[in-house]
Amino acid sequence: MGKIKTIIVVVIVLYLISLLSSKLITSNFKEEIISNGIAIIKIDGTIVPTERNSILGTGYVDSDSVLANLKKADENSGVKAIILEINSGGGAVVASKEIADKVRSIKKPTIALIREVGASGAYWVASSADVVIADELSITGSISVVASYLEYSGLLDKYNITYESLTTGKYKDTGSPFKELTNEERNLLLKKLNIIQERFIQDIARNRNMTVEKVRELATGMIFLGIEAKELGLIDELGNRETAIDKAKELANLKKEKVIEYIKKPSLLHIFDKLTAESFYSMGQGLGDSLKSEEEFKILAK
Amino acid sequence: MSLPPSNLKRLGSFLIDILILNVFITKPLSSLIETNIPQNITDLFTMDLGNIFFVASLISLINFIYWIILEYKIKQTIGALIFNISVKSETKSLTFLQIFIRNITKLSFLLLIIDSIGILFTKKKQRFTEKLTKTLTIENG
Repeated sequence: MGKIKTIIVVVIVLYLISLLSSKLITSNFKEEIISNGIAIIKIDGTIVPTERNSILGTGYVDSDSVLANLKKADENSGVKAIILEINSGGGAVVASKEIADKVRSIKKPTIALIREVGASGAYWVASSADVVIADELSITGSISVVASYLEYSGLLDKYNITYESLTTGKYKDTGSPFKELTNEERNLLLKKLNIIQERFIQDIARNRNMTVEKVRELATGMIFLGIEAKELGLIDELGNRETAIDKAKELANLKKEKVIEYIKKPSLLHIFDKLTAESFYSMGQGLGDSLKSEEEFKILAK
Repeated sequence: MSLPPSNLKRLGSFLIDILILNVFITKPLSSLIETNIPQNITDLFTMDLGNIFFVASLISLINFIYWIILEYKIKQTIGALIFNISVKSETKSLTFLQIFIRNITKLSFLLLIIDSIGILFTKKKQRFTEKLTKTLTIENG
């Protein structure tokens, strides 16, 4: 056999051995690597659609990252249950809905753990999980939609500044902060908010197995403490992280578990953001304290 | 007389073989590890490293087999063929045992680096295992 032939045969045979052994151990390997895995995905901060890097620090959670982590956890056969650890007062409508839709589509047991706050859009997400757990003092609910902005037209009038708007469409500058909303515009915007509100209510009703009427009654924008939410059927259980892990084990039939936190690797900018935000906060606090003590000293001296 | 190849040629030959092994031959196994790489540092404490070690060992074994079979059969690997270098015994004909021992350090990258230090300090540019097995890497004339 020629050299080239020998090489081809050896390479092919070894490749087949590699392929075959990888196929043989794939399922077992994945199961074992994070066998009995319970994935924890955090939803911490205001829900926005895409990542925001700000010098003022974070405080946002983007649906892109949450969806990516949910996908990873869902596709990893070693992960048997998913816990969404929520600490958010909601955020953008579509971003919240995207996460809620994804959570609902997951076949594995999903548990929403509301820590400090899980309200509005974040409650929308929580409700889409199989089980919702919250502390008795957690803030939940706030099933309603808000759209607000600052309007300066009065201020402009005061300084004799005229707002000139040239638009080709009647409603193009609706919501401009430099002019007062007309009744027609206000009604039109409210109509759109009502459409979102109705969808929100229907989703909560479906997720929580409640009647639309019952949810509509609760959808006043009122927040509910965990203990109240339990009575109203907005959550299933009162508890903490341990409770959520126990529930995940129970739903996934796990005897022992490996908890894996799915977090986004922080970029250099994130680390820098965090450091600067913390430094500036400490500087501000220090300056404030020194001014305060100076003022107190003056008062005492008087 | 057969001359030893330059260090650059040996390195080039080795890199080509490594490339073929990693990009093609052991790809199905290495992708198994890649898909299970921990996402964060805390995963390292919770994941079972035993299986990663098992797959990594399998990859090393396949690498090892690649070298011993090709060197035993045709006295050359793909990289060596491209750089026109081959293996030769200092005694009689090349035996399987000689091939086996001279390639044993290829099971571990660290061992191979230590073994390769010999190239810099021996007259015939032999790795320590090559010296031990009385084999040479030569440039084909």
